[in-house]
Formats: sequence, structure tokens, C-alpha cells
Amino acid sequence: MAAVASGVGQRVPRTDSADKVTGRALYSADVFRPGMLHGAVLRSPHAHARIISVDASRAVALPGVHAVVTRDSLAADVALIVEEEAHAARRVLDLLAAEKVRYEGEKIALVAAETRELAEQAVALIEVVYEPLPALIDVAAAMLPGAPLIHDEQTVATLDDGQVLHNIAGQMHRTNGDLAAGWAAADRVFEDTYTIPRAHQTYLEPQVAVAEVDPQGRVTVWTSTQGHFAIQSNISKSLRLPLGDINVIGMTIGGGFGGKFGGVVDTYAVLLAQASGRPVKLVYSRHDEFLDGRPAPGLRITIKTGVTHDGRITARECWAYWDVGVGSGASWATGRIKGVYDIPAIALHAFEVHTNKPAPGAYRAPGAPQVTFASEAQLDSIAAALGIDPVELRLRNLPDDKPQVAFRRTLLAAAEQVDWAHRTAGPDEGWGVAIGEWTNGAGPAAAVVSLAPDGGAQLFYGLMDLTGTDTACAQIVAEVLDLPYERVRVTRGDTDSAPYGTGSGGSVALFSFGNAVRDAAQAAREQLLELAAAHFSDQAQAVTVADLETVDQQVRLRANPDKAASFAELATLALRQGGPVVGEGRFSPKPSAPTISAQIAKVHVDRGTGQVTLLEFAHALDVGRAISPVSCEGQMEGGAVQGLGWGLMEEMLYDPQTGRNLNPDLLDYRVPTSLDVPPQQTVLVEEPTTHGPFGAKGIGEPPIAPGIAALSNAIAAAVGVRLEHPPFTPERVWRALQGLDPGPART
Amino acid sequence: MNSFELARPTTLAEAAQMLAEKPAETAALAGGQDLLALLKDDVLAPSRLVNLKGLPGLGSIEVDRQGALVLGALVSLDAVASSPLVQKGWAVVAAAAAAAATPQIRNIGTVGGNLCQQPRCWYYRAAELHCARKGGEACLAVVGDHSLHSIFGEVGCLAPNMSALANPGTCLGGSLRLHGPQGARTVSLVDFYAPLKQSLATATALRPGEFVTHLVLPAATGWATAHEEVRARQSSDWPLAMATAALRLTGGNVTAARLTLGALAPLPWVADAEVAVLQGKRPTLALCEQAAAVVVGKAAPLPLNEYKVTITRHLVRRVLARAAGLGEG
Repeated sequence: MAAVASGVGQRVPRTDSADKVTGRALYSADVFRPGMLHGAVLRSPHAHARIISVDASRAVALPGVHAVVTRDSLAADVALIVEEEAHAARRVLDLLAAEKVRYEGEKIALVAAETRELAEQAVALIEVVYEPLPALIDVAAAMLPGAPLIHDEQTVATLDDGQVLHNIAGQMHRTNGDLAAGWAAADRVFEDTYTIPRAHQTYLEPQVAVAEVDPQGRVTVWTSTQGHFAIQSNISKSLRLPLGDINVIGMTIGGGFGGKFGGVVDTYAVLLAQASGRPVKLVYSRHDEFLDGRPAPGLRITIKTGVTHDGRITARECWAYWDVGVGSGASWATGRIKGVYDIPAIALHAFEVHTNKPAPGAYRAPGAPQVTFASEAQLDSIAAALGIDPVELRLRNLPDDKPQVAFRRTLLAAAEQVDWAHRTAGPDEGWGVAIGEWTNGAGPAAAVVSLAPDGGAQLFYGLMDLTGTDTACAQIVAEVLDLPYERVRVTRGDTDSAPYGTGSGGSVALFSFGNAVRDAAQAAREQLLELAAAHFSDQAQAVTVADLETVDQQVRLRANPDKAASFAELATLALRQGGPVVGEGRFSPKPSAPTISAQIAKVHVDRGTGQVTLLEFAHALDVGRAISPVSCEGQMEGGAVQGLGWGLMEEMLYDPQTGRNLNPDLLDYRVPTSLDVPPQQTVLVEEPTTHGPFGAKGIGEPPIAPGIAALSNAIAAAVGVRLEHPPFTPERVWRALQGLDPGPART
Repeated sequence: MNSFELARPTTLAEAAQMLAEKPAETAALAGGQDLLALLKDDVLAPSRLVNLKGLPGLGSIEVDRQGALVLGALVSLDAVASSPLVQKGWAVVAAAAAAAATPQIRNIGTVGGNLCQQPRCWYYRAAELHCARKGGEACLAVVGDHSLHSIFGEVGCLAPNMSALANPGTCLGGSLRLHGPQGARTVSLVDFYAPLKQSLATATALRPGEFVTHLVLPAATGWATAHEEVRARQSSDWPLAMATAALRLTGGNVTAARLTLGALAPLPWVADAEVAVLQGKRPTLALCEQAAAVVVGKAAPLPLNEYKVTITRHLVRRVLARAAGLGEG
């Protein structure tokens, strides 16, 4: 195969950029259907309260209101909603609150009306009588014996030692290796506790869906999602509809980061469309997002690590308390406490604790930023206590590099980028290093690549493009077929038309679909060459595929380049001889190899004001193979900013008295601006993995994982205090400098 | 958001009359950057908005015959920040305007709106909550999360004054021209905000039907000034603290000292008396530090905003040192 200027590994602009920056891209909120109504939701103003009564009669009577859905009007068998995620927990929750509301913003009733304003007006007319109950926002308080139970059923856990914990949604206990031997081998044992707040994915485009039900009851949904097949499945399970009666059309998505696998709008839009007989659009506001989104869970974690004097980890044990709100899940991520280090013995005790907050969901590398902060911050304190350089300490515990695995090379690439050994720091400046790990999963995928009569390629599949995967897949087709990537038209099918495919989450998308696309393009190429071989064959010479090569969108004889036919000529010829050129590719999950994201931050801490300024930031990631280097760097930069944001300023705050969210907007919930994060130095490391397309690994997740720890480690290096509760705001930095505890629970 | 009538007066008299008819149910609209958010969040629900944007004579930046800067109430914050006139003669005002909010808000938000903005408090801004500022019984921040709230000036509400212009404006002895049904009058910025000390229901000196037409800042000739802010995020954020200092230096000695703090008290916090320790002395870093200690000696923080005391001490030292030409302090 000749190198293609826009093939695999080439720096090309993303295929969706022009549409997005010129406003041509169509998002779900851009969908308007004839006769479409607008939905609104009545939400609980209380974090915890008993519902005494719901009276919607005044809303029903308001002219222009076409449907009001309350818990009483729901059929009993659709009273539950199934929220399914590709890479986080599966949850079953109340569709609408019944006897109790358990978090501020919980849905109580739905309205569809002719305008959004009218729908909101109708919502305000619904009268609900509440009996407020004490709200629990802190996992420690929620577990106390005697704490009010948020869910009435089966949430009291009795541990082996007889200890009784309240509001426990789930537990996970796991031991690997000989812990007693590990502690015995340790020269020193360190124990630290860290608290990480909830963070919201803060995708730019809030959740939105439009639903339409035809006279036969068949449902069509236009939505902003990471996986339209997951939405189809959610709706089917929640509303007891046959899968085949639901078509989900995935529109251009304005960010998801794990938060858009369904559950919060789609099913509700369908309910309103069913009830009103009209298409209904349901759009979340930013306020709705913070009150009733599915953010990352908070975590309180105690970690105990044994090490030898020369810094080798001998044993580790941890106790993790995940704030799962009214939901569940999350505890599985506790396993990441091992990192990628060689740890001979490890024990985990993880608890999922109910609080009066919404259920958590997936947020980029679910659970990894929280757990990685604890393990990598503690490792840094250990390095300081033992007087070992933090990079060196990590190297001593990392396994050796081998094919597919390049932990050491990646860490050293980041260190080299900042000349770590010769780093300099002014007064109150410090450097911090941390690594985060992730091994991408995989899911089913299929793709069809055909050749149009004009010689251009068409790629058709059911992949939701969040991160530039359409661009990367176009580059793969370009590479295989030997044509410019601009000549690859990419079309995403809806669930009615596209073969089934995994959702875009957990860094599985390109790993899975890339394989299917490569195989589909390869099959199309083979058809094309076979056609050309037949075309070039005559009585004098029988041409075989092996005699042919592709150059400049032509197939020609290697031995006689003058004997050539363009892709267009051959694609047109195919219409008469054998039928259109169509290749298909299929993929089912195969294992990938682990990768680390190594990050190094340099900060300045203002001792007077507590302000932390990020001065420099270097980031190395083993991407396996950079199919689209521009997209890889975009993933690294975006993920790192999210991790750094969590470390510097992002946290969902809850009122200790009422349990209400205090900062449900992007003014008080701060995400970093371009002024808060310096330009990043990104280094692509390429250690191919066997089953990845062209060796590519899934890379979306790891960049978010180490940022909080890198910051805390840099702050410790700068001013000698270790912050155990991100984000590292002026207030928390001040508390640490004063030697105070992080203060009362507010997250 | 409730439905409302939009009134569009074309003269000052007409505006005053429209505002005065149902003062409790009427709100004045200029850039709308604060008001529209409050309407959307159902914190305020006026039945009439009086759009001041069509009024003549409120859109210019001028220097009057006495050398005072006259900023029309409809001038945008960006225009204040980028005006060479303001930058030259009233640099602290330009600096404060430039630091406010975001570029988008500074392009639309006005001088009058910035001075008259409603309290920035997550309890006040939650429609369902009935805090003291909205006529309720208690300030919810006292027992709740007051980490962003006032450390000075007990008035029964902890929400701090966040106006970017009120802070340097007060420090420079600024005043406001108001227009109302009885015509025009002038009040000092100090007097404009003072009524809050008497009653939470009257946040400013505006009488029914009155609105701000101009911010007037006397010539700052002879004053050495500095303005600084501390924020958790470098843009799109309210400051945790802001400070403006003005020193008059004669023969190297301080002959007059003024200091105003913002985001730290329910109204611009004038600490002229505390920085009087500089009076008659040659400024040094140690003296600035001493003055800062006196300033924060008046602070009465609660558990979650105690850090603001330390921030304020450093901010005051820095801003005094900068005004005195001692570098960054």
C-alpha cells in the first residue's frame, strides 16, 4: 500500500469541523416536527420529603396543555426506568417519584404544551404537598446507625465485625495475594484519607430529545447520545415496547463524556408523545443538568500502603465509600487503586452509600480520577517521606515494558519533555507527577464500505462520533483504498438502518469500529482489484490481483503502469459486472493492552491568597498508534483539562442544612477557562496493541485520570502541604497552610 | 419566567413616571445581564420592565469642567475598560471594569446595571428559598455555606456587594446622579448603598421611580491608586475579594489614605479610618502590613469564610504597597 497523504497517522482536519463552526451541524434541539409540543418537568424543591399529595388539575385545565403525566397516571408496569450504560452500572430507578422524593430536582410530573413557556407555566400550577425529611449529603453521616434510610428496603448492612452501616446500596470486598506477608515485608506503612467531590460532565449541549409516536404506536426519537442503540434499549425496557418499534436517530452531539447514555430525557419525551399524540421536544436547562443529571460520584477513601525503605510497595488496603446518591454502581472502580504497579498483596473494601443526591453516572474513565488521586497522591507523600524522587519511585514499582505495554517509556517521555532531572522552581513553585491507567474495552461493531460510481468511497455504520472517530475512520478507509480522506463520505445510520454497534464510551469506539471499517474497506478493495484483474485480463495475459497496485485513485498493472483504470471507471463497470463494490466488516470484542497517561504539572501557590496557578503542563500518552494525531492530541488536551478542572475548581456543592445543590449553574460551578490552563505539551507514545486497528489503543479515558494528583503533588512540592480534598481552591489551600482540616462536608 | 410588559420610554421624565406607577412590580432594564438571569430563575417576577436603553444622554464618557469623569449609566463595562480617558485618569476604574465577568457580559452590561446588581448569593438566587434579603426570617448563609460571603459589616444578610465599579468608585469619592419623578439629584456612592444598613428591603437610596443616570468620579489628580482582586477562576468569575487604595503622598509621606474593599461586605466597605495608620508616615512594606492587620481586625468571619481574612490582609498589603510605589508587596 502506498502512503496516502490523508491516511492513517496523517495530520488532517476533522471532517466535522466546518459544519460545526459554520452552524450547519444539526443538533437535537434543531429538530422541529409538524405539530410538535414542548415538554417541561415538575421537580422536587426538597432533597428529601414525603409526598402527601399531587394535584395536577389546574395544569390539565390550562388551555394549550396537551398532556400531564403524573405517577398516578402511569401504568404500574412502566413506573420504573432502566438507565443503562455501556461502561458503568445498570440502574433501575423510579421513573417519577412516588411516595417520597429523594433528591432535589427529582421528577414528579411531566407536561407537554404548545410552547415551552406554557409548559413551564402548567408545571407551576401543579400543587404538591410535601412533608420534608432530614437530608443526607455526606457519606459518613449517611452510614451512621440511626441515619434516616433514604430507600426503605434492604439498605442496612451488617459487616463481619458486627458493625452496622445504614444506607448501603452495595459492597465489594476483594483480596489478592498474601496481605499479612505484604505488611510483614513493609518497612513503613502509610495511611491517608482523601475526599473527592462530585463533578459534572458539563458537556456544552444539555440533554435533549424529540420523540414522535405514529398512529401504529411506533416511536421515533431524535436525541443527543453516545449510543443510540442504548437509548433504544432503555426505552424498550422502561416502557415495555418491542425493540423493533423504536427508531433512535442520533443527532450531532455537543459532548457527552459518559453522561449521555440515556435515562434522563428520552424516555420522558416518549411518554409525553404517547400521552399527547403529538411530537414532543424535551430540553434540559443547565440548572436541570446539575439537579438531575448523572454526574461522577464523590468518594471518601482511606488507603494504607506498605513499602520497603527503597520504595517498593509490599501491600495495600483501602476502604472506599462512594457517594451514589439514590442510585448504585461505582464501587467496581475501586480496583483501580492498584494502578499499574506490581503490588504483591492488595485488599479492597468498597461501599456504595446512598445520599440525597441524584444517581451518579459515567464520567470519562469512570471512577479513575477519584481513585487515582488517592493512590498517586499517597505515592507522592511516600516518595517525599523516603527521600526518593517521585518519578524514580514510580519506575521502581512499574513492571518492565514489553510488546504492547510501554508504561516506563510513557512516564519517561513526560519527564523528558520537562527535563525533569534538571527542573527548576522559584519560590512557592513546585512540580508534581502522576500517572493514570486505563485499558480500553471493546464492543460489537460493523461497517459497510462501498464505492460510488464517481470512484469515491462511502462508509456506513452505527457509530456516534464524539471525538473525531468519523475522521479517523475516514482516514482508515483512505489508507486501505488508497484515496484522499475527503473522498470518503461517512454516514451514520439510525437504529432502524445501521447494523448494531457499541456506544461511544470507555474508549471503545475507534478500537472496535476501526477494525470493522478496516475490514470493510479491505473487502471493498479486494472486490475492486478482482474487478480490475478481470478487466485487464485478455487472451494474451491472465492478470491476477497480485499483479496490480493502486495509485492516485487508479488501479494499474505493476509491470505496465500505462495499463490503468480509474476507481470511477471500475466502480461504474461494476454496475454491469457483478454489481456495486461493497465490502463489509464485522467485529466482536477482543482484548486491548493497558496504557498510562503520565502528567507533570508545575504550579505556583500564592501563600497570601491561596491561589494556585498552573504554570506548565506536560502530558505523555501511549496511544498504540495515532490514526488521527490531531484528534489524539485533542483527546489528551480535553481530558487533561477536565482532570485539572476537578483539581482546581470543580465541585458540586450541597447545602448542609437542606441538601439542596448550591451551585447549579456554570457561574458557581466553575470549569476552567483558557486563562486557567497553560498550553499543554503533549507527547504521543506509540506502542501498538495486537487487536487494535493499525495498533491503535482506546485513548479517550486515561487523560482525565492523573490530573488531580499531579496538581496536589505539585502543590506539596511548592509549599510543603498536602491537600487531601480537591478542588484546591483558595479556601482549601488556606486551610491546609493553616494546618486546619478540610472543613465540614459540603460535597 | 413570568410574563411582563415591556415599556420603552424615550425621555427621562417618561421613564421616571413609568417606573413610579407600580414601583414594587417594576424593574428597570438596561443591559439586562443581571436582571434577565433573575427573571429566568424566577427570583424576580416584575409585571413591567422599563427599558432605559432608549433614553438620551446616558451613553457617553466625558470629563466635565471640574475635571470629573462622568460615565453615562448606559455605557458598557467594556467601553469603560477600554476608554483611554478612563485608563489615563482613573486607571483603577478601568482595571476593575476590565476584570468583571466575561468579555460577552462586559460588552452588554452597563455602568448603571453594575452598580445596581442584586445580591450574589446562592440562597438569594434560589427561587424556592425565602431568605432574609427576600423578606424571610433568617439569612440562610449564616447556618449554611457562607464560604463566598461577607466578613465585614453585619446587616442581617451576608451577601456581599459585588459591583466592580462601586468599589473603586467609592474609594475615589464618587457619586451618582439619579433621576426620578421629582427630577434629578446627586448622592454619594457611600450614601447610595447606606440604606441597606437600616433595612434589607431598601438596598439603595433609589426612591420609587428613580434610576441612575450617571456615575461621577472626581479628578484623581494627586492620588496614587491601585486596585486588585482575588478570584478562584481567572475569567467568568466573581472575585473572592477586591481592594482599591488611594494614597496622597507629599514629600514621600502619606498625607491622605483611602481604602475600599469589595466582595467582603454587604456594601462597599470603606476602611479609610483603619488605613489612617499610614498618615504622616513614609510608606514601607512593614507599614502596609501593619495597616492591613488593622483593616482585618474589624473582620467578623464565620467558619467557612475565615480564609477571606487572610486573603484580605494580603490583598490590602499589596494594594497599599502598589499605590505607594513599593512594587508588588
